[in-house]
Amino acid sequence: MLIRTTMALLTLLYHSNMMANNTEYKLKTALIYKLAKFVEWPSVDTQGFGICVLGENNLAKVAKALEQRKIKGVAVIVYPFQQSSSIRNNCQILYIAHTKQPFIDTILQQIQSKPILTISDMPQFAQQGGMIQLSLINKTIRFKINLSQVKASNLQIASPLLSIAEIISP
Amino acid sequence: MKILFCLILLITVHHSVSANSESLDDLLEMPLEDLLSMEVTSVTKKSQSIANSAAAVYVITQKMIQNSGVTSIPEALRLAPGLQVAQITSNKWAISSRGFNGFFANKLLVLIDGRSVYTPAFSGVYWDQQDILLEDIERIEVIRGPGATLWGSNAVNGVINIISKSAVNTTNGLVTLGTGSHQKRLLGFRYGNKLNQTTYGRFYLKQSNREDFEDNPFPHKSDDWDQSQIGFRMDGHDKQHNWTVQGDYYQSKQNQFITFFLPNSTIPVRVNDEMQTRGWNLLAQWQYQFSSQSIADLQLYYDDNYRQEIYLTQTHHIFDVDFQHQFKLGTKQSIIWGLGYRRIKDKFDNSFSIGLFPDEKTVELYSGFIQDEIELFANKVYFTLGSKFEDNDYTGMEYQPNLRLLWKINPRNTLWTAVSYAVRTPSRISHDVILANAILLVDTPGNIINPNIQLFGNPKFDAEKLMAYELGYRVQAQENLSLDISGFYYNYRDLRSYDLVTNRVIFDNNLNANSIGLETIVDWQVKEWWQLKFNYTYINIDASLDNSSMDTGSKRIVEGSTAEHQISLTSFMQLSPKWSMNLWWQYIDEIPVASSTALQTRTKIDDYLSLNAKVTWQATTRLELSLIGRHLLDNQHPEFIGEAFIIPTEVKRSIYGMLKFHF
Repeated sequence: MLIRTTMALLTLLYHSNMMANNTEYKLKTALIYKLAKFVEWPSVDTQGFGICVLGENNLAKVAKALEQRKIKGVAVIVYPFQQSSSIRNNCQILYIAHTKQPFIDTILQQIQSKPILTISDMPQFAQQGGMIQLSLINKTIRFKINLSQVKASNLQIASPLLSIAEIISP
Repeated sequence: MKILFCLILLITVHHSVSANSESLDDLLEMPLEDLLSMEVTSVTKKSQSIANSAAAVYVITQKMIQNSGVTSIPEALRLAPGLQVAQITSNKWAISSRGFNGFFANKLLVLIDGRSVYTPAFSGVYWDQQDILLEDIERIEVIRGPGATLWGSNAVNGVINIISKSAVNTTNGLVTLGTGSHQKRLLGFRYGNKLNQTTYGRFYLKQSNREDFEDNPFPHKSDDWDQSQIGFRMDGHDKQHNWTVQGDYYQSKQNQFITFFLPNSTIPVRVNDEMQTRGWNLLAQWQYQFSSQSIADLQLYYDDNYRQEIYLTQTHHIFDVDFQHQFKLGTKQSIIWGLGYRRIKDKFDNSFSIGLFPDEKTVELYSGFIQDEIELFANKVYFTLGSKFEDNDYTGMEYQPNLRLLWKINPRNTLWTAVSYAVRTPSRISHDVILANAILLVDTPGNIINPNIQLFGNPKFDAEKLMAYELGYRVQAQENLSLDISGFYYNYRDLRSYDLVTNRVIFDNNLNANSIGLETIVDWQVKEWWQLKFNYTYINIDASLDNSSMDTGSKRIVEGSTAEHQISLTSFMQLSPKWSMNLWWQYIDEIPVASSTALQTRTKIDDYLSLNAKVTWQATTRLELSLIGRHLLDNQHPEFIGEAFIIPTEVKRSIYGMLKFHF
């Protein structure tokens, strides 16, 4: 009996996604996952679908749970970063924390024309050359999409997503 | 035992099912449209606005608290620059902002979730009565400098705002266990969950037992303590409303060494005092959003506390109600205004040593404030002006205006400046006290040792006044390097002095002072896995007496009770996904004259360097084990000498282990 309960307890210990207790991060994680379904990349690395999170460790921790899922038929890998210089080529999606706003120009320049979908909740993100901006309006999340930037990076966004987003042309 | 084990297991199993049934997996299965209709309260919004404020603000985050391995609020405050934090005994602290420290430090306002925790008896904080489950802290905002306009009197040298997490963000269980030297027993438990579609709740309990510091000269305990606290918090929301109800109950038993006078004796006696504290509070807050541009807040709380010491027993019943409303006026102006009322009913059981007359009193406080933030140039220059108006029973109406200017030079550089006026209104003690052993507080020439002198409160004692000039600069030099510098010049008038009138000493306002200081904060993410934080604090205080006063003691204490230099360096390394290490050095300069007791015994506090270390092993996603060492560089060192009654002990090296389990 004791052995069995111990085993059960250990199984519970190793069960993941338990730390996911913040609504905002959970919602953002879900949105990143959902958004990916509406986007076409020119090619996807079969080694793993890279979701990179820059400067927001708490989100990366929650998003880690996506590693049990697949996007475009490829298993997800979540990479947390503090500095943009650490970003490698294996990102399909790059989420940028709002705290990186002072450096947004250099960060975007670094990955310019690479097929990386950029997402952030910083104000003016879409105007400043980001692709999908999440903004909080009346407690719910809305999208702003910089379509020319998306196209310049050889990405395509399906029309159902475009129809519910505000299209920004800087 | 086995039954208990199964029960725990049952709760765990049951919980993990219910959490999964509405957690991330659920969200991932929802259509996008449903996700977009979900309500979310942003946690990042508030911290963003703090980074853009025209004030010297520092935020102690939950992560910093966890990395440091501290186990109490006072210890966590050591992380902030510009604060003086010193431990007098195992259970007593002296904490202040920008100087004027002491056990009875009275120029700092401390709020826990909007509830003021300074005691109206002397306008200071009994730190041994303030606790919270540290894991439930969202952040601690430390505002150095006057915050009087928004927060009111006693926010003279600073405001500490301890903010706990919304119950929305604690929908799981947590058990913490710790033990070791000095920290004999640390227990924490929290359980939170979603109660219905819009309501979340949690409850917690905390029990700590700490050993005494002293290899003491008496055969019994000197300063050990035992503390227990329970509490809850509920948060609910819908489209336009947010509400919070929370409460705590605590009690503690502490030992302390006391020196005081008995009737007809000229020699102070030293006794061991088994003191007790207990209290409870209940707070309700309701926020109504008229539109995204207009939000109103109503907050009510009741705070009841009891403190029994050998020389004085105090009971306070505090009722407080606050209303505030913020809205946009046109496109350029944000206005925030508010009204407040507080009623404090107290009762003292006097002793020969100290007494308050009358021993029961009710005082009332009416306040209002208005502040206007004007955007002078879009996204560039902001000008803020405002004032607090407060009517108190001691000095009547007090105005506390301020002017602030913020210039965002570019996204990486921000410059700000402020001019403010603030007051410290008299406390019950400065008005109504009779203290037998005035000798412990005053050093008047010719009366070095004369315990027959009594200290009297003064009904004409006026508010202490401060004109503060501040300048600050924040720069995000590189993505991984930021710098924050603030400097200040303070001019104090009518500070408290002790003046001799015939055979009496009374509180008076014959002391003036100037202070000048600088705080520098450097944050450097050296590598992805390595972060350094460096703080440097400099402060110098000069005091002068009015011609009528002979109180050279107070002058020397004001000048000598603050360490001129303080340095803190923290290195956090994520060595591997499972292992991390935090090292934290602190240098505190000497304190020449900590208090009247230090002056009288001619004892200074030497400078010291301390090292704290924490090694953490994240065994699984749910289980974390850590080993913490505090004050590792010496066996023991003194940090402060309190003003009266309490005999200080020396802070000892301690090593303890912690276990944290999420379920």
